[in-house]
Amino acid sequence: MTVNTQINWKHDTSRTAEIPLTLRNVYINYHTRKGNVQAVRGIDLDLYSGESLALIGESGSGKTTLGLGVVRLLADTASVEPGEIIYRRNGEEVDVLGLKSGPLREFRWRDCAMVFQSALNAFNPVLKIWDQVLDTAKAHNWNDRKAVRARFLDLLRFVQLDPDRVIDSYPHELSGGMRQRTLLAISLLLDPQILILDEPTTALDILTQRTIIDLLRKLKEEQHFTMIFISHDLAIAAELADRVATMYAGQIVELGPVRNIFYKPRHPYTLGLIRAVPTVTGGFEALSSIPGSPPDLINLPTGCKFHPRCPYATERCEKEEPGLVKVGDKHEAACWHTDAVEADIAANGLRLRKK
Amino acid sequence: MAPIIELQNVSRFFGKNKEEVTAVDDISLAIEHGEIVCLVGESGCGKSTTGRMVVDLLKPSQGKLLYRGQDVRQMSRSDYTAYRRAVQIIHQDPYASLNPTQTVRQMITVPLLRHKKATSNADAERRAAELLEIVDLTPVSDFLNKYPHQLSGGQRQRVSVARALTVEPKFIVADEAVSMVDVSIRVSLLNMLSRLKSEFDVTFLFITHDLALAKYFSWEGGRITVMYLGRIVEEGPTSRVIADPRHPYTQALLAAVPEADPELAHKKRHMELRSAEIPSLLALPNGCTFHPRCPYFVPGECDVNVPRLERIPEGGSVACPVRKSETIELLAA
Amino acid sequence: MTTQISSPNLAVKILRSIGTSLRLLTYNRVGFIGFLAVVAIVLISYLGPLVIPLDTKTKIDQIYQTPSASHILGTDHQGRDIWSQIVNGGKDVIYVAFLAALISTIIAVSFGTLSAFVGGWIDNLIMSLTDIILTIPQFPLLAVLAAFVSLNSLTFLGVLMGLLNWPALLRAIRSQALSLKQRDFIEAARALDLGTWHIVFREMVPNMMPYIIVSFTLGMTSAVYQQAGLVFLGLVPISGGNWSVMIQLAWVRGAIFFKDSVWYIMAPILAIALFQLALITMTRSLELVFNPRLRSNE
Repeated sequence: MTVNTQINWKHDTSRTAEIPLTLRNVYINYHTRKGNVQAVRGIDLDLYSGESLALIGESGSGKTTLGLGVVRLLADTASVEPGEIIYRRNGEEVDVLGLKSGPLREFRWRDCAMVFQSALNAFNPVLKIWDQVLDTAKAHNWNDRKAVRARFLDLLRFVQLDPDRVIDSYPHELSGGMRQRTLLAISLLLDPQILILDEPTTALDILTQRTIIDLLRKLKEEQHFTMIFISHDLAIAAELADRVATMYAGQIVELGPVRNIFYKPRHPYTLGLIRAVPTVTGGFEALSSIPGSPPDLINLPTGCKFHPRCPYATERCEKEEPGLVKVGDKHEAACWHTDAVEADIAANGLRLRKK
Repeated sequence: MAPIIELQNVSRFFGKNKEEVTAVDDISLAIEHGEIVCLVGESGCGKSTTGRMVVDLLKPSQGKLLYRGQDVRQMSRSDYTAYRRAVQIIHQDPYASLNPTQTVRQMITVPLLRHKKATSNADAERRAAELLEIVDLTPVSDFLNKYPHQLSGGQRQRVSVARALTVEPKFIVADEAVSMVDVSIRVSLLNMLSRLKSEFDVTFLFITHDLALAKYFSWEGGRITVMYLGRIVEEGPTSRVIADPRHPYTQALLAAVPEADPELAHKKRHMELRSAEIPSLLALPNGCTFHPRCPYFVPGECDVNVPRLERIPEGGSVACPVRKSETIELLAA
Repeated sequence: MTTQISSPNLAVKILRSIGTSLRLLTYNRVGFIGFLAVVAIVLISYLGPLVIPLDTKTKIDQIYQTPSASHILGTDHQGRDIWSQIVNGGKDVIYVAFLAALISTIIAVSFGTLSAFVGGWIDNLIMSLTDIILTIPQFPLLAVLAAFVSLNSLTFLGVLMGLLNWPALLRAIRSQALSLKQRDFIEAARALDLGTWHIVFREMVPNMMPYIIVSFTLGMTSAVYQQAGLVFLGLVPISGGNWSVMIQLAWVRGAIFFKDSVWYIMAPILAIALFQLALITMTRSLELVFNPRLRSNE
């Protein structure tokens, strides 16, 4: 990979607020014929400037819905009720849920850009990459073709693509990894303050995953981007996150610094995930899976939503729903039995020993 | 005894003339009864094509498929029927592998009755209940009348396995069988498959892009075979391939795999490749197909000669004359 | 044979299935109205004649009357009641259309799916035959046929139309089946050695049911027009009360030249148009009825 990565752009961190994004008590429901799907239930979250936060969870955990909710790209059948999403820049506060269509479009590119999982669908198949870039720039009243081109070429170099080859290609002429990187370059065009990446490496090959991960790390370490990763893959969190939020049934059940989450998890679900995922290097570890299936989001269980699958569940868990409580430095978990989790790790090790 | 499944110099081409693509290029693979073999590689490496040829859902363009030493193309009708039922496949996509218009009961009782594994409807019903129990879909009565869309991804994969078990197979090709299932459920699926090996004497060809899964599934006595652009580049006992990979491609893969452990992730040594792009299958490089990306590229050797798989004393074989004796450290000290 | 464990008996199952179907029909309002209209037209055509017999008596003093209490659609050139002709004239039209659509659909589905699934020379043979039939201009063919054989039997006419109408549908079914064939569950069925018959009729066809039913309905509409056209041109000498015959009679009796006869010529045309509209709108709901996802979500 000897592409020239000399770049002439820098992420503008001057307008960044200390806490650029705050979610307060956010609920998101999908209204279906069968009933209300409670996809997100009561999220409270502060995103700090320059940090990378990973939202991890499995299908139905609400992580993608939450991401879409922040950039207001939810399907028509979904609604945010109640909830508050506050975005801050240059000392002013913006109520994201109250934005009208014009300012909303601005917000999506300049302030908070989302990069989607399916890179192919994000492109218009009949337009060349450059035309799509130009359209994006024009839509935001940036009409200086030369400047746009220079900036985009720079960005392509940054994502380690051959700029002259990519800029005049049609989307289908690029491989999956190249498309993903091109998409990333386009989303950086207007220098957003926050980047939200939905499953940035899923469905990519291992070697391509590695280039994307390295690239994102560069964005984080060299450009100090504020990023949110949404993924089912613990490895993304381990590789890139400063802070990790584990989501289950629409809630954050554990939130803390990456090392705490991976080495001192206090929520049974987080521990279950860690014990279910094999690593490649190092010796052999026994694995165990979490029994049962993800909950039905229309008819949620009573009390703690994880209790039907939880090895530590007691009567209390069936009746009372736990809230997030402090379990360590900047580390919170929503469980009545964090002590039992701690004791389990002390007795059996974090990852299970080989039987 | 002859291997249960053997591919001899098998190639498979798709398309015609100028558009012809070589999906599998002259591979040989013998799988002994009771073995677990993992076929690992990235998309387009030919692993799924290989799997489908083993089940005879796809015919090789060249080469032979042998079942217990017999050429599948030259078999008598009854021998072919025996092979047909003995070798089954579990597909990747739990949303596509079950017929949306059938209930679980239909999917399982129909093959039972057709192949006389059950004598009556009641018998088929009883047998179906047993099979669902084997794949841990209990209580059985909750599942018999369900349609696929009423089941979770993991449950669907279990139904697929139960359906394959109706014909009492001896060999199962699991083509990315757990890749699309939630992580918390994967391990129980893998453990269920492992149990089939010990309890029903099933031999497995486990196809995956995920090295960690391959490692977990085949750690005890299994083998890993690594494919790149239609060729086998390395194979050997799982513990050796994972701990001491020799082919630069295997090394690059192992170095690149993201690890679900922050410390491991930071300690890993990454390998710089000469190119990030996979060559097109329409225009494969000469010589070793990995040479345009390989950091150990030797001009005049790698871009000229097609490397052959050569045995190494540590176990298995490697198709890289340049690096086959070189060990690398995957983790920084 | 023992009954299946935990499954209700057949009668209950059928009743429940009919209930589900009716409920699903109501999901699309326009489609449901179409469905009700089709049911109404079929009921009137088959049960109506028992109540309102065909008026065959010539009444010279009552020709071309406009609608009134005694003749709600007026009278024809011989003073006969038009409403009684409409009520009695639907049966044949529906019968011929149904028969033609049924035959062409059965041919198209069986051979289209088989062609796609088996492939090879069978596919080539079936497709060549399809292309040949497709290129034959059907109307002239029927016209020529009418000159040689007497087309005075309704069943014969329906069968003949069915035997000519399948190629376009077959091609569509075949391409659907080709994509279905690639699906994993078909591969699994092949690996399980379930046999061609089972795979075609139990695995593939049920997955095309919504499409097949819609095609069948649309096949009926084209068969209605086709027979109306043939009768109108006088190529099929079918007599008796029949919407198509009514139009033809009205035409040859010069009804369009009389202002008062507009009811006579418009009544069968409207009857046909209404029936067609009902069929086409009904297809919107039929798709829902055959969707297994909706069916089992009860």
